Amino acid sequence: MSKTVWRITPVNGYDIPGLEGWLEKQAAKGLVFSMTVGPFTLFRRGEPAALRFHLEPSPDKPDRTDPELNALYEEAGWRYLGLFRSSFAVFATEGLESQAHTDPEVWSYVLGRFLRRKLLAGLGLLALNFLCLESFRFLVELSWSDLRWFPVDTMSTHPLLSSILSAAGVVLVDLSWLLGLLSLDRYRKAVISREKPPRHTHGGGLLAVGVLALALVLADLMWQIADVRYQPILEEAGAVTLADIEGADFPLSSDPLASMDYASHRAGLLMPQRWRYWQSGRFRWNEDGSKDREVPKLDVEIYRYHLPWLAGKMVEEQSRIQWDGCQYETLSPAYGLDQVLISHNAFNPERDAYPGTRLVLRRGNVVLLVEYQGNQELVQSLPQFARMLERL
Amino acid sequence: MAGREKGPLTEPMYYVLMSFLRSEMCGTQISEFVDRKTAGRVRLGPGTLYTLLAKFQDEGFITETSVDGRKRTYQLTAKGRAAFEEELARLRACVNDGLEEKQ
Repeated sequence: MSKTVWRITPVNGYDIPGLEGWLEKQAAKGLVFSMTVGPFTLFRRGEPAALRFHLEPSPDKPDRTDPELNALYEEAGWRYLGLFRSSFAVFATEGLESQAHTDPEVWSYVLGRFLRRKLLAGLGLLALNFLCLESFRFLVELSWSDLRWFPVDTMSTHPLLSSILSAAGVVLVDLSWLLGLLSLDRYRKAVISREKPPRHTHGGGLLAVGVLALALVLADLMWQIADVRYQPILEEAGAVTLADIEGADFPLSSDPLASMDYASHRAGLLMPQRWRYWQSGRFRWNEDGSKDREVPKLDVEIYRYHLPWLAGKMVEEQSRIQWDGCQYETLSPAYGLDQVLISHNAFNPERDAYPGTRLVLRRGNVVLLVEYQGNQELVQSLPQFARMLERL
Repeated sequence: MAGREKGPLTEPMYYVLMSFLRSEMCGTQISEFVDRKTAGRVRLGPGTLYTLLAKFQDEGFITETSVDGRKRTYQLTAKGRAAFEEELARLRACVNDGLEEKQ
């Protein structure tokens, strides 16, 4: 049996009497305070004991205690157990009537000083709030009707989930901080007026849920950063290229911005994995020296969702989009694909150089969106696209 | 917290200052002095003593003279002595007032 026991701290981290009472209850169950890790408190398993706890606000450096402080407590029969979240030095004693502070005026002074320090710590929290606001900048350009009618598509292209989680996380951490300060102030006033201090048994859950939400966002961010790498050349990766559709001799643009030889890739916990690449033919030069940009083009996007249901929902959302007033037509699934949708743009020779075609394919939890402008029939490339999805 | 500017000293503050009148003191010696002097009437918790030592040092009432491991020794400064004398005078006046009214 493990000697270390983890518990979510159920009491607000600034609620001194509440925390002392909770630690005393845990000691009575045989769990003696050891240390804290974020919203968790770690205990050493031992014999049940009736102990009195005291949390002394750390006077100066939050990562350690003053040796003189520990010496004075030990001489008075207290044991130093560790630091509680860089805020308090935790002491315990078998003497249930022992008092660490015998002068209410001095104790209220310590609490007042601690309260002021935690108020200043709010500046760090303020910075976290600004960082969170930054992640919401994309909402300015987001259409709420898109969010309503195309939630999976919106979630696939915008960091919606991570923004919601980071906002919820920051709000909960803010709330926990604010309630903690209020509780600390109430306690200080009770000490000054010699009243029995209020003892709470809750409030820690807010911080735990908030930190969990922020940890998820951070993990997602780390995942994305760790995943940034150059993806293989398209043909080696088995991707369908414009040359596959137009023919091996088709001249691709040599401009790397117009014709990619790699796929951009993004992966994370809170968004679907996404690949994207586009290619276009080589521009022709007109007699007046300008470039004719009307060349065959291919734009491919692939989304791998955590759940097949989301992939199905993405296809359903795509099927509702009308490009140039043309609806998607459902084809019989083939080549191992679960869904095949195709849409031909209304071709207008005066406006368009080439007919446009869009494909939506789904295989399991992977959705492939193809936009093509050219003279070839995209359906003929279905087997290649299906193989590409199979190899992902 | 009370200092001379903010009002009278509390009993623990008064006795901690008093403990330095005759010699330098470390934390344990202060506790023993206060316990002996007041026959256990004034209790000095470790948190209270630690805070007072830090505060008195900040206010210039005492100054650190030596550090031996975890033990620190302090001595009273002229400012600290003045603060003690002022409090003593206040208490003496209080007692005299009481005695005068009682007669």
